[in-house]
Amino acid sequence: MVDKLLEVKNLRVELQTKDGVVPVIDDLSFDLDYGESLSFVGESGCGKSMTALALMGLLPEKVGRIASGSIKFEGRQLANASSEDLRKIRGNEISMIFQEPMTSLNPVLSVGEQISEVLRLHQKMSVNSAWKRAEDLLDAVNIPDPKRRVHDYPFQMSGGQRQRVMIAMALACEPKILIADEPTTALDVTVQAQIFGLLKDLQTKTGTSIILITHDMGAVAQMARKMIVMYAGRPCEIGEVAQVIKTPQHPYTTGLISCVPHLDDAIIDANNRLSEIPGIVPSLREFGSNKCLFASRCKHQMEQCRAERPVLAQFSNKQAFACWKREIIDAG
Amino acid sequence: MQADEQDRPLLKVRNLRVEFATKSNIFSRQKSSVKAVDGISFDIKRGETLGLVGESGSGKTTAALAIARLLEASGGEVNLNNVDLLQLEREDLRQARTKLQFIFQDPYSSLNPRKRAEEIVREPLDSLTDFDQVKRQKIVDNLFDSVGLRHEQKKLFPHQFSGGQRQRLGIARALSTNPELVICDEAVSALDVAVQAQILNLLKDLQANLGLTYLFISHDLGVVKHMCDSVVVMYMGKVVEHANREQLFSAPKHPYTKTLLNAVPKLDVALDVTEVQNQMSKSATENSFVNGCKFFDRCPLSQPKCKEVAPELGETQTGHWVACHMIS
Repeated sequence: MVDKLLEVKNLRVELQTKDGVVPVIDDLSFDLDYGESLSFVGESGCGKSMTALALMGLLPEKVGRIASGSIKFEGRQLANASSEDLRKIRGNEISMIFQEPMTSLNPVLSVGEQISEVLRLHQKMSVNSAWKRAEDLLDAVNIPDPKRRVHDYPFQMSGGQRQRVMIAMALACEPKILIADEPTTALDVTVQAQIFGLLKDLQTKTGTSIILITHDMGAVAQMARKMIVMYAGRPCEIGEVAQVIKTPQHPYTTGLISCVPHLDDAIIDANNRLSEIPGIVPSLREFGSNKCLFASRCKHQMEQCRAERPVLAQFSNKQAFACWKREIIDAG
Repeated sequence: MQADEQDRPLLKVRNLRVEFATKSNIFSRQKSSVKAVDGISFDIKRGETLGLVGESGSGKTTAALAIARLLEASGGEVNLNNVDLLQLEREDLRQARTKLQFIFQDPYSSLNPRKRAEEIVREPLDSLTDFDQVKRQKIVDNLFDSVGLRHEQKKLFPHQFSGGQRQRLGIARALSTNPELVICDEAVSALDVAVQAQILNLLKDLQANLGLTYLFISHDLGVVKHMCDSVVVMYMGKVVEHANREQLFSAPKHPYTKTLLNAVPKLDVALDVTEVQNQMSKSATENSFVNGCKFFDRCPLSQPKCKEVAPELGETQTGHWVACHMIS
């Protein structure tokens, strides 16, 4: 049997906090195929970035650990693999673009040095050929005049250009998986459109799989085919993007879609209100308790929600969600 | 007479300019300057919301700061209730500030971490009004109710609040002097989507209850479409399009506005982003076309004329102003 590119099963990640051990990712399973794009959606504090860090083996040392479950990358077990093994994969076969391009680039090295470093380490390229390749990569991410700009330092570039440098660096070794953690949050919409266009282009050219982490449903609709909605460390809805956006089943997904004013919404009257999800994400202390963590914010909540954690159950062949209301929703 | 009063715009901005001096090199004595806001004009009617949109660096925040006299304008007029704020000095300015308040983007850094919530909300009352202790306390209590904070939270420090609650504090502070105009500078950008909806609803409720007028700055066009009655689009310090909400979003005219709207990811279809990408392959460069249209190098419609002569803002149909040679 051919191994899946990435197969995550019952992943549980625990953080050591002063209130004890809390599961910031609680029973997450998904898989990713070659050339596929998957998106994680949810508010901050719901475990989206933690998932990415767990995949990369970059959980905060001594504080975070993978408690149980498995992460298989082309059949190789990544959960609790040695840091040496992880280092070979990281930046080489799985790489990541971080949210803040200013703080994640080294301010005292030129962008050329930073890109070529990846190539020298992972591909054992010579200094000269790595530098040459860095120029090509800058060209591939549409930075004008790459021969000159490769000597620039991050502060000499605009936000969008820095994000392109990050992408160039992440793509240097032609990874099989590219994880993009809110890659456009700090950028203008026009620049965001360019970055998305660039990522899509590169995906078609190189066949890289993309994991996009975002809170923007519009970005999901445009960039991904599959999506996972996370709430308080738990997956609450998984499915095909088109289907989930059209017929969201979990009340949290419905809320996330309708609480944002979208540009393609019709203008109704002057005083229309947005539908709200009241309250905020529960504190870490509540994570892991055997109940629906969304219950306190949910207008459908009932007794069972506070007594038992809902299980993720298949809704149709392309959609699954975790909610006790499903029978009632099913009934209409 | 009463009707007249209602119809008159609350805020009239005329030809507002803000320039920042720069030195081109350290040896040159000649001073040059960047025109961050280059002669913008607009009105806001009482009780309405005007949106100010554009990419970062287009001068939205600079314009707002100049209107609030938090930054010195280089020229122009800012009439609030027929009083030119730019001409006011000292005590008069202090009095005028009670009528115009600011809500800032970052609820984390815009609250003094060493003050308690009620002190933060009371601060404008302390410094701008002469009310007695009892009345101030009463106003603060009422504000906590109207922005949806609990009274027992009055003694807490900012770090003990969540992001959304902190923004509620910032709103309460802005409303304490009973202002007529509230400037919201990216007031919801730092918030999570669910909390953003709560704050937007709060702002709308307050507007309906208190008759507030908002100058609403945001880069999120969906939010602007939801919140604003009319919209001003800025590009490199200039107004390129100004129209009411229906016209701007359903029939945008300026090529820059169109590009901006196209760039927003849509929910329903996967739009072809490469088109936008090609159009916007260059990013804004300062002073590239000093005489002509600043959008020239990124514009799909550009003609030789655009490079030579800067287009004036002209009314193409009632209430719809566009600054473009190619739109008549």
